[in-house]
Amino acid sequence: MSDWLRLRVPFMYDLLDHLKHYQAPKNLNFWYFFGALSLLVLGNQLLTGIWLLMYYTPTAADAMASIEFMMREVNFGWLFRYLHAAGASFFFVVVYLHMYRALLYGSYKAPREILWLSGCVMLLLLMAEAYTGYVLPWGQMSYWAARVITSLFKTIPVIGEPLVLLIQGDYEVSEVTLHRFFSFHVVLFPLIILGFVFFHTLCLHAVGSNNPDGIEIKDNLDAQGKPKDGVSFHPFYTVKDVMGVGIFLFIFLSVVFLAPRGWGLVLEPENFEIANPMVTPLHIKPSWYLAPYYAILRAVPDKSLGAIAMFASLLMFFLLPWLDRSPVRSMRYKGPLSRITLGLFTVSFLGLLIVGCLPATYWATFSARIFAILYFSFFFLMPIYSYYDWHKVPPSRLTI
Amino acid sequence: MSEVDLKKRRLLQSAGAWGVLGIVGAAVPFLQSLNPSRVTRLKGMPVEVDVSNMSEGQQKTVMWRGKPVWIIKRSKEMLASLDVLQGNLRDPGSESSSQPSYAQNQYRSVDPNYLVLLGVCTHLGCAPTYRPEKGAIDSEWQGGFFCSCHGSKFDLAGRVFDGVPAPTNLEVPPYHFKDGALVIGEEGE
Amino acid sequence: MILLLLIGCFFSVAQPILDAPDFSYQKEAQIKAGAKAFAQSCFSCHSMNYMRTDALTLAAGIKSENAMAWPKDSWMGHPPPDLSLVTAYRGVDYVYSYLRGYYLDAEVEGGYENIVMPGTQMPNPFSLMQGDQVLLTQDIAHKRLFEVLDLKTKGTMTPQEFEDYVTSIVAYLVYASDPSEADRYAYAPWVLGFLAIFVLIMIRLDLVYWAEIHEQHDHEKN
Ligand code: HEM
Ligand code: FES
Repeated sequence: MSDWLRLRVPFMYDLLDHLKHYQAPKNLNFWYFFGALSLLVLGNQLLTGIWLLMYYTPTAADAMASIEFMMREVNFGWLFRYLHAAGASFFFVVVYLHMYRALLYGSYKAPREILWLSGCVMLLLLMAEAYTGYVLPWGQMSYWAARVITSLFKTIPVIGEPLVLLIQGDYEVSEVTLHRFFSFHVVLFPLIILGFVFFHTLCLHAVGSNNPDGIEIKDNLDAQGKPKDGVSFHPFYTVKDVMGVGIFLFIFLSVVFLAPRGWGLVLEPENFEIANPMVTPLHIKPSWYLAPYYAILRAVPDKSLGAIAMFASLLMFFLLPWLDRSPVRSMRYKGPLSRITLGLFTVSFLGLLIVGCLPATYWATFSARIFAILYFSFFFLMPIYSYYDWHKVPPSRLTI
Repeated sequence: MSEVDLKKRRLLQSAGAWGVLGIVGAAVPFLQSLNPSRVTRLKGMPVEVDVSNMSEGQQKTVMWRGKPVWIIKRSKEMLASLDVLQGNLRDPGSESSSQPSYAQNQYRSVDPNYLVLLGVCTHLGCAPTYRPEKGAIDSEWQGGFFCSCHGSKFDLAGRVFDGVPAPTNLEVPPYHFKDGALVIGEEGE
Repeated sequence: MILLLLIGCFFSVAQPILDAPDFSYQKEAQIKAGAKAFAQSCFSCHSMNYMRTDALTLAAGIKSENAMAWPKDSWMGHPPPDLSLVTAYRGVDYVYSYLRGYYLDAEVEGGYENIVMPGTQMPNPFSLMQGDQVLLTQDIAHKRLFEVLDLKTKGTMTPQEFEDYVTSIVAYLVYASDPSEADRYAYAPWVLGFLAIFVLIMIRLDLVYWAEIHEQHDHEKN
């Protein structure tokens, strides 16, 4: 049987063999859970999304009613809604930690630039996916988020206005916009994301995993040509990853079952009120996972410059492989300058996240400016401090 | 086998069992949610029809669980026609057809005056038409139901004729009479 | 109402501290009583549309088809909203304090003002039951409601009866905004317990597998 199949679908066997024998460094720590967990959450979003689609109606009159219907009348409808909503938030938690791992261990550096870039593209896609999904319940925040974000594009010179018309399909965000965002959210973006996930994994398996020491395990091969410091992915990391999945599910499902609105972070109170184009909610704020960039937008006292700063804050990630001029990858062997700047970056990102969720008071704007400056300095000054920073010589073998 | 291997195997087995249990458990809500929602189930509740003012030969159609249910008030003459046909029917005694036990008789009904049928052809689900006029379909026609999709014919008790594609008699839904009204979709006491 | 709230927030920054309802331990009975109270005091104006087939709701006589359908421009453009989700977007404490926050004010039409939502369109639904409250001081910022409101004339209910009555309504509203709560809490221990055991098994399995690698590594070192 297996020969019969092997002859007909050899690539399936190659794939399985590859996964089984993929040599991973022996010293991967919990930071390496988050890639597999991203896949898990992606699966959760796809599956629960398909189930939500069975009842969701993308019209201005029925969108919210169809969701509330599902949550009350359909068997376990509430479960799918909450899994999907909390899943979106957890997706960002997991992906941000996944990226932070790369910052810690220099995973974006050569030869993993394309791997990193494909990740950056996925981050943008994920934001687009989350944003279009957020519009679908057609609550107050859905509607006003759609208006605020689409009008951002108006700041682009010359093509701004026609572009916004093109996106909205109407003179103002309306049911027409809802329909197309629906189409983007359930078909277009998921398809592209899946494509990139595939590409991302291919890249990873081509260049191999980095590790907390930031040294190449391929530099130390045994007589058979296997890395001395490598172990085959299966069973060693499959067991570990399944353990990680268990821990993650425990936390995730605790929120889903016990606090599914996530203290207003997963489902904002304002969005339980149906969209009303006549009345803006008192305090418009984005979802927490977009708040850092939104805070940067607000921190700049000029409309176009604010929009540019916001997009730039995201584009910074793309440049990282070429900004870092340190001879070593991992923070373990980088010097104090790199450590301090990463620490400040962490503070500024979290600071922007919090400030972005608060009303734009004097102090909020003031601190957003400080954090924004820190945020950008981390990137702009990196060629300098990473080059001149002290560093230790990494060991030639992994520290376990 | 070494002690470590034994331990490993025991743990693998429990992890596997636990994993399978988890996946089966997780599948339950996904499958459950595909079943009719509470609203659908409520909509599928029995329907009450007032039949007291129906004239002889009249047909009334009501919807029950998304399907048409016919109520026909049969005249003496119509009932008499049912005796004549026995020979040409595929299942005159309704042995291989689907109906509640109280409708498995020549008239296929509780009260011979009222015929209650599911208006769904037992061939491929088209909706047959009620043709009470004698000779309407062919010269022998005593009145009955004709399905224009593939030409199935049924008599005035919904019994299928021989030589047509439909295999069995038209279905009778559960029903009973309550205080003079007809209740469709529920067995009587 | 939102508009008025908006104006209210700009002009009277002074907000009292909201009270939190003290839900009883017999939640289900309280919710049931709340549904009845809702039918009696609120349903004449407010719909409860998302609760269309809920047994408890129907038993109290709250049926979507019997709900008032207000024209858009009635009530000066602020017709009574549907309340199925009101505690979700306003907050539980807000609704609870709002319902208990009416006081006599001869200057407003209808004779009652509300301390939580000044200028509210909703006439005091409880004036007979609760009696009339008066405002003791204009300085309400960061004060508790009982510090600034005083019951002047008695109503048909004792203060405790009225308290129970309003609390039950809020309990029902909270239930209506997410009827899945009881189900969720019932499943949670099973789901989480199951996962906890799974994690324990996996941790042990992981240790057993990785002991091998660590042994090998130590061996290489020496
Ligand atoms: C849909 C979202 C994503 C999925 C499903 C995903 C999946 C994965 C998986 C399974 C791995 C291997 C396991 C691991 O190292 O944790 C991985 C590695 C990696 N990912 Fe992602 N990822 C996603 C988003 C991103 C993003 C947004 C970035 C960065 C901007 C990124 C950058 C990387 C890098 C640099 C590695 C290699 C890390 C190393 O070897 O040290 N990924 N990804
Ligand atoms: S469906 Fe009626 S004859 Fe074929």
